[in-house]
Amino acid sequence: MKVCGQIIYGTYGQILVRTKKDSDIEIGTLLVVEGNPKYILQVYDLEYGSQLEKGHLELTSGLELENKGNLYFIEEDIQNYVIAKVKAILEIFTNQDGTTQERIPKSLPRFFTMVKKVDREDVSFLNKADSGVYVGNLRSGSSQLEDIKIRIPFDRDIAEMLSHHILIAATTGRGKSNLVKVMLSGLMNNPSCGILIIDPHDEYYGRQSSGLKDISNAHEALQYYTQSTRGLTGKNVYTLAVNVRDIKPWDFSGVVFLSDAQMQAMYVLYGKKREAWLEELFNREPEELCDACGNVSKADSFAALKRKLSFAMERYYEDEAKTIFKINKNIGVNTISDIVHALTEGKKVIIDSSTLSSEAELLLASAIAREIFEEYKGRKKDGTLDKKETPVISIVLEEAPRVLKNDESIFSTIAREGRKFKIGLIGITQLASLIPREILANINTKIILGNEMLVERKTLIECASQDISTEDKMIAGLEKGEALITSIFTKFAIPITIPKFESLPELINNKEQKKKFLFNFKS
Amino acid sequence: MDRHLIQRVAQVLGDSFEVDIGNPYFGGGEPYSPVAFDKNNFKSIEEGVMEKSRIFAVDGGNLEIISTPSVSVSLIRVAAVGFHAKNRIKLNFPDRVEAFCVVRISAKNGHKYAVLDYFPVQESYADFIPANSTFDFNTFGEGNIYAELNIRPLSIFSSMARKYAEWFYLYKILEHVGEGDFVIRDGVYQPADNQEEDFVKKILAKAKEHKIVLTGLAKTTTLVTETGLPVTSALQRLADKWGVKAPWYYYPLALNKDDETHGDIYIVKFTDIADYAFRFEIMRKTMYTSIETIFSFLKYAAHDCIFPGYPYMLLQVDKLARVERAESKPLYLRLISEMKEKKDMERAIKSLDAHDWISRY
Repeated sequence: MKVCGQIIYGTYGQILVRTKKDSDIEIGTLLVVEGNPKYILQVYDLEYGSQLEKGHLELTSGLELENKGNLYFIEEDIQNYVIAKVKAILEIFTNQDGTTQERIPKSLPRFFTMVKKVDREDVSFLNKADSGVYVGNLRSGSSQLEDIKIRIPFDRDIAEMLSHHILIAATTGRGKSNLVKVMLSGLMNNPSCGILIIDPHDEYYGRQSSGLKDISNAHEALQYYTQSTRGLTGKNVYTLAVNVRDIKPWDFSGVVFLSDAQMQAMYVLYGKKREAWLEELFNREPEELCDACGNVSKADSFAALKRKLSFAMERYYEDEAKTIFKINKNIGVNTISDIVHALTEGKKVIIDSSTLSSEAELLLASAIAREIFEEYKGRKKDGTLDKKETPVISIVLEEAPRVLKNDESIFSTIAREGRKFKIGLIGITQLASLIPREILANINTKIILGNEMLVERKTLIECASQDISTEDKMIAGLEKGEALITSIFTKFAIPITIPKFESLPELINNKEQKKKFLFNFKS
Repeated sequence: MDRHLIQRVAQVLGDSFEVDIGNPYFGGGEPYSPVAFDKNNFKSIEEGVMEKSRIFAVDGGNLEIISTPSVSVSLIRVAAVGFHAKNRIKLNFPDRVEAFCVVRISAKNGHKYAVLDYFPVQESYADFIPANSTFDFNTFGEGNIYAELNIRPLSIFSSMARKYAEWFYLYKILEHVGEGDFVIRDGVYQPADNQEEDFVKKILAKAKEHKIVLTGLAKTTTLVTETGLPVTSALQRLADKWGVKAPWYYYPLALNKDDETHGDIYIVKFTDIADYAFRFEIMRKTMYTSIETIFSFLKYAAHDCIFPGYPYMLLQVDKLARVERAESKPLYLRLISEMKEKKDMERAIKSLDAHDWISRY
């Protein structure tokens, strides 16, 4: 055992470890206390320790700085050192048959015990689950344990975890998109979950560079909807077009602000014209609509409604080809139902919303989400929802607070009730603090990447599934690609290093390279 | 409080230091003849590290755990640290030994005796702990501090027991110290009784046999000048007056007429950063290394940040040997818990601890 420190004092949540010289202990380093139970500890703060008192040190420094003395430390490593503040994050009991049981620590490691850095054997139990979503490798400080692959939710059900929602929180440039790609690549082969990805930056499919299209079975499991299919081939690429008949008045909730009069006009029109309500709105004059609806609403209300919805649906262009919302009865008729169908078959669907306005994007996402919700509600009613063949559906949403802060949004409904219907959200945000606390509390897995904003860290810490109140500095110091997972599906908040998507073996190119390498090696 | 009263006390205090320096003073019972202060006896100390020799520092500590007029129990701890040049070395003997020491009073045939029993805390320490001793009160002559023991608590015997333990431990570890190495004890070579004298003689014989240098440095000293100034203070005043810059050592302060049991006295100041000068002793017959070499190394060791002016290894061994007050209570409770009849002992303790109780108010 290579000792790197010794427990010298402390309390349950704050164990003090005097570190050995050159032990390179960092914030986040995982340590081990051997024995049965074995304890896994995590460093959350570091401070200097000295046998000399503060005033004495100041005087010594003064003599040195002012060149008035020639003092030194004969045994500097004995007199001055670093104290690591650590907390026990896991207690591992080894049974007589050699199996292990892990639990949240309820006791303290033995006083004055030596500690060492964690190694592969200490945390091999984390490798027990070969199912689950691969998110990265276990991280200790800034180094990763390559062999310890973290697949959440370990030996628990993925569907359960996804329906309990996931939040990915970080500021720009910390590797959110890479993480999502890594997670989705691991789910690509898993038919028990359908994933809808609303992609405002068109970065997941990999139109320009590598993306989910490069995962070996993408041609079967992945569908890509985009307004511009130019230069793209493949059966799984679709033109993004939605017939306005598939859009219902309630899809605008939380997307467009409407006055009571406009709202009333919308619902009256829908009541009269049903699926054709938007065709009528866009093709007829307000006065005509007013007459057609028995003058219940004023022409002015229809005029304003038409203007607002046209804007939201990007119908202000002369050229209908520029909007995805089509009036032509033959275009985009089954898009939403096709998407939902694909998702219910466990496929992954990427919607390239990069060319859409924010409202159009939200409207489309709401319409699809509403359809999914209705579909699964129906399945729940007829008893087919809990069947194994019915996959959980998860919706990946960028800038999640946009939709989650609005109570009327379908996404807020899913956040609150989705788990009953096997629907979950994977929300991505820089500003978790804008998401209502009630919804944050319902998101039971949070993957926290680096964040320098104190208020954001505070929000995440307060709503975490484990007590990570000591991890503030650690979160602030997370480098790109480093993250902390807090979840009701894990025993402790797990630090990880996320690999680069491009390095994943699931990628076709990487596999081919590997084959090529092996071939060359053999020959 | 009346300000004039304070001023008067301050005046007397000030006057006692505003005296002529005078010359060193040694009482009649000591084997030292004072030598008048002389500027030429100041020598400067050069920088240097002993690359070949090792240095072993030895110190002891004790704490009374139970104190009654007739029985006293103490914990005694003696320790050593070793350095080779700038590095601490691992010792091939126990770097710390501990023993309980029970002192009891008994009377027989009109004589009063103090009986010292050592109980090593671990069996492996037994070789390094001295044998039990008995003292006849009547053997303490007039003028000897122990003559007054009839009215003193037994704790003074605990200190004696600690000193014996220190001497004995030093004697034992000399077997493990090599030729040319040197030992520095916290304290001087001034035996206070016959038993200590025996120890010093045996230690000297063994040191000569193994060619080991015996030295000591006292943290405190009661040496004074004829005018009552502390010698260390007087020499610092003279150094200032004569323009002698630290680091320096001063020798001779007195001529030593008994180099079998007493050390040659030096006063040494290792740095001008701190106002500390110390009494240093060396057993002349063990001077296998030049005094300059020894002081050079001690000067290096006295420039550690913890206590500038005081050799680092003595500081470390002090820490190792110290018995903290906090250690007393648990040991006391353990001893009490093992006693069948405690009532009488508790009453006996109460005959001495009323001061402690009152001071808590």
